[in-house]
Amino acid sequence: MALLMLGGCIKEYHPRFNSESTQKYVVQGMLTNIEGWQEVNISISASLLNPEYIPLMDCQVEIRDDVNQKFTLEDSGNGTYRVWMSAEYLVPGRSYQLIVTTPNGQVLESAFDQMPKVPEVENIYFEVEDLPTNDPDEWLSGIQYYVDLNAGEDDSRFYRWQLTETWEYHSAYPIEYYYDGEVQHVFPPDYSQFYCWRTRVVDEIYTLSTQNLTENTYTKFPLHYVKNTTEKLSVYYSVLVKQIALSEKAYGYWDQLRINNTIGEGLYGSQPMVIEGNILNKSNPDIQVLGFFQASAVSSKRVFTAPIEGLELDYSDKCSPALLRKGLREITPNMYPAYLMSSGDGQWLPILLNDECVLCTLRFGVTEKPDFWPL
Amino acid sequence: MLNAIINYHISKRVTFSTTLTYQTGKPSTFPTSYYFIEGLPYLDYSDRNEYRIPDYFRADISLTIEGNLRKKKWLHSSFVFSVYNLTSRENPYSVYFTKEEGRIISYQYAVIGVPILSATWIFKLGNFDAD
Repeated sequence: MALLMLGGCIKEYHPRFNSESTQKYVVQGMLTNIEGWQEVNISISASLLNPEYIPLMDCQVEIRDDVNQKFTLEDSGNGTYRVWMSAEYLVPGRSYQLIVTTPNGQVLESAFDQMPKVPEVENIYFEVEDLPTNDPDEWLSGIQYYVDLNAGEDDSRFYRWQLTETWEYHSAYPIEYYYDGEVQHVFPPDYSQFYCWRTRVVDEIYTLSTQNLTENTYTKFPLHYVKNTTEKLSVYYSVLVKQIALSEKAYGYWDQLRINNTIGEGLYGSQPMVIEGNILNKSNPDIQVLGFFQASAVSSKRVFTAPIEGLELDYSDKCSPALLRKGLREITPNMYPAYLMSSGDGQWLPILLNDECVLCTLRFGVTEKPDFWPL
Repeated sequence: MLNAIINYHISKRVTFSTTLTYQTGKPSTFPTSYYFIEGLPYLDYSDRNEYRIPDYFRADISLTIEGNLRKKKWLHSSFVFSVYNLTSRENPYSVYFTKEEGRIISYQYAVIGVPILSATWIFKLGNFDAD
């Protein structure tokens, strides 16, 4: 057995992919019922070793509806094409089609997708819950968000929820003292890098079909989980929930995408599948086009969450003050400006604050408060 | 799958054998490229079982030296010296993909990648011809 283990080896393997498999057109667009810019994104898929976004510019892009109206999209750069459409043209029940002509003359055409009706977002709420981990003695604490769906018989039976979270967080200290060859006192303390906000699109896919339910309602559909090991719940947290009503074909696409991204490992995992969109390369039908063009109705709701009583947070703000045992001599010019801790009564202490203690932007946030922020 | 076994009697007591095994690789589904939908990255996969992991080939040899050929004996023995996987081929048992620094890297895992030498001493009751 030892000999077998010594003889086994792992080395890099380079499969020979067909070029048609590795470079496909990716066309993604969502026409909504909300008056405004309607956007379509066109790109090329990238190799596994260089996973970058490759936009495709200079395409001719057109949207057609089923009453023969045409809308030409303009290239707004970076693979995004858009057109302003007023509400009179965005009608639930109407079907829409996308037609793209690439710079080399290939024609990509989507099937017609019908825009359904969407109800208002009913309820979004959370519950404090513990989740099990791989260690049976350890549990993850946090809050689990849920949404209730209350749709009528005229509304769609297929839904996706897209979540964008925003949270406020603070540095550990404002800038009050720093050393750049001399100790500088900032009075009043500089709070310009103390308050930060960070926004992030939740990358999980949430889909629901009520096709097999007697009523078009669903209570307590689980959305995302916010752990107590992040700073998100430390000051104020918000999530914008977009409720997107889909056609059945669009739901099938997003549900396949969701399954592919949550495949289990090991003996009981299922194999990933090729995801079929609704876009055909009319010039070369054998080559698959990735992505989907959908006509969807959207409603949205934002909720705010203050720090939760009883939920202890356990996260690192990456601030690690260090005692200067030899005093200011320990600070070298390449460390300028070196931030020092304040004693709180007008004196500085020989304690070095790393940049993360005073500059909240180092944790990927911005100092500009969002318009919708209530505090 | 192809198997070939060759035995050559060098003398009454010495036999040389070789085994050759060849098998086409297992069909497999591979991720083939990255693409972005609404700013988020996703993997595109090949058709089911469109690709195969590398083929399996193995060559083994052995030399058998029988004990004496006396008719009246109550115990007969023979020595077998063999080399498993003579060509040191690292036949992949599986191919897997893992994410490293944002890239998808594929690896092949071979259980045995070196020749395995063995020596066996076999006993049986009776003489050389006994079953």
